[in-house]
Amino acid sequence: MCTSHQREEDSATTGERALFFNYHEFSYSFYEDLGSKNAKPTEHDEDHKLCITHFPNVYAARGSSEFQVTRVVRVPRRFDESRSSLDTPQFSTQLPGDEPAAIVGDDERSGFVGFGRYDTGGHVFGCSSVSPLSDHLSAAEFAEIVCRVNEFLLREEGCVYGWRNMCCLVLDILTGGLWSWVLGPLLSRPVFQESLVLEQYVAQLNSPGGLLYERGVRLVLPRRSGCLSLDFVVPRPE
Amino acid sequence: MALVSRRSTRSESTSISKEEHPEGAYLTKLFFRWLVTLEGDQDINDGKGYISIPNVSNYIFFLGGRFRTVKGAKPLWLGVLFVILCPMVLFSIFETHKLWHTRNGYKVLVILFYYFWAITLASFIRTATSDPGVLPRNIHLGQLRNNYQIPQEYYNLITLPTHSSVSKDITIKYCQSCRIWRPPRSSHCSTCNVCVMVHDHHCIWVNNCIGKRNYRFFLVFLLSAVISSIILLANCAIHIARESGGPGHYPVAILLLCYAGLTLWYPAILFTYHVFMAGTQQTTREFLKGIGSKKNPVFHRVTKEQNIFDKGSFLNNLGYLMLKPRGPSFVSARKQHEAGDWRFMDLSPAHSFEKIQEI
Repeated sequence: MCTSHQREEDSATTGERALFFNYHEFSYSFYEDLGSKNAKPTEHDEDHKLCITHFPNVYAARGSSEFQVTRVVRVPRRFDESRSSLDTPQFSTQLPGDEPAAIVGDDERSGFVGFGRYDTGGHVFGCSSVSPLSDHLSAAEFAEIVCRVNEFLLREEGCVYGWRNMCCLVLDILTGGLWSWVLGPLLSRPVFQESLVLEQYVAQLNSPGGLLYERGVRLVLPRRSGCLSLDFVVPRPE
Repeated sequence: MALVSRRSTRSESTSISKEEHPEGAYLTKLFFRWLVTLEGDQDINDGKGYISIPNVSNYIFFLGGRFRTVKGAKPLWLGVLFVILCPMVLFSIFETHKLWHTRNGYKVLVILFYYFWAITLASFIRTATSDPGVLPRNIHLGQLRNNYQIPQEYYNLITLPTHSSVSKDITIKYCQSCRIWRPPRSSHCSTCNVCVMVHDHHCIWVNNCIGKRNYRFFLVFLLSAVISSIILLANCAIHIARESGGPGHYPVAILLLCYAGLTLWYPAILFTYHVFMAGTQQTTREFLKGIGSKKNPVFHRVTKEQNIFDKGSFLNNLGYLMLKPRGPSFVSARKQHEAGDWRFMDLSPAHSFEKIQEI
């Protein structure tokens, strides 16, 4: 088992550039093994720690049926693919598990491989950074979706000197700030609905006929998650 | 499956249910809650944001979430509002008609005063009462077990690589209060009890944080306050110069002259300081971190530190921080949300006394 996170910390201290990994994941060694019924949690060695790659679905109420049957895979923000990603949210285009410093399992099977049960509800986790999302989307499909989302976010937030922002500034100066406060939102909704294109794209992916709908996955609108991570709601792995 | 049993520590519930109250009293209570939403109720996590946000923050909302302020802080903003309103009232009563009815075209100065005064008031209200860029809570909840225990790894500072054109790696941190991996330049404000994007500082004079979504208004407020003070000064000086009698004939003009002379300096110094800060692409928090928080940032020389957010030139930096679009509000006080929304749940074990029961 490769302890990539440790390697990343070491590289930081030696003056080399850090390696990217999914900072949402964490490991746990006291868990129930899969395969045996009524198994009790036991301590596991460093090489067989569970890697927690999917999380409670915080987009569904706790008691709801959706909360019981779904989990969230979080795609983190990435800062090394373009300079603008420091200011505008840009998400990793690599499937969780494919990142440079991801934890690689010693199992040769591809995709998400469960090793043990952990957390309230007995959820299944593997020992590598590969998440259940890999069972639903290929690396290319995933990259295409994230690239489009990144592009929309850049278009909306990155244009400091774009015509829309400049027009709003001029109108604000002329109206003493009333334009963006009262008049604009009343008169012209599309101008102030910045993420309309992104919202439409996400809705199309999630609706019948959309790629994610067909795969049983749902993409959470970045506005809903505060652009903190790009979240995919996936069926609970069994 | 886990069930949550909650032991309420409140002596009296503030929830409003239709069953408990007759129709009239129910509507009256709803109206008063719309008028002023003082505090949240963990049992109410439904409806519009302004009803639920106080569950997890120190915000108070007015008029159905249209305006906000922070509870528990000194109401210095009322003093600022008085300082803004007072000269306009005195000027309108005692000075306007005298300058307006002259033949020398001083009308323009009067109009300019009212214009910049209106911008000062509007930008003050927007700075003080709008969303500074609050980030949603509990988005990065690690697990449910042990009362939503935060994983050990989430206590580490994480170093991530940046673009090859940037000199240093970036470090990010998990906010244990908001349960999120904070994006760069954001931080948790203990007064408001929220994480704010591109957090500059919590301003006691406006009783709100200055962040990504209201930094522009804050700077416009400072600049327009300076300009309106200068125009007020000019107007009063013209009136005094045109009067033939002694000071007894224009006491209000002298008062306003002194008033404008005094109120000019604080926003002028603060605005100059922010121009230098924005020009070197630093927020007040980042600057304070560099110089040590004991020093007064306004009276400390602003130097250009090695900064990964630097855009290269002073003007580029200035334009970027001052003109950047506000972006959407991620925790809108006016928008409807679904029942049981995790963003409005206080998961802090120190306050919620929740007990997890495993079945």
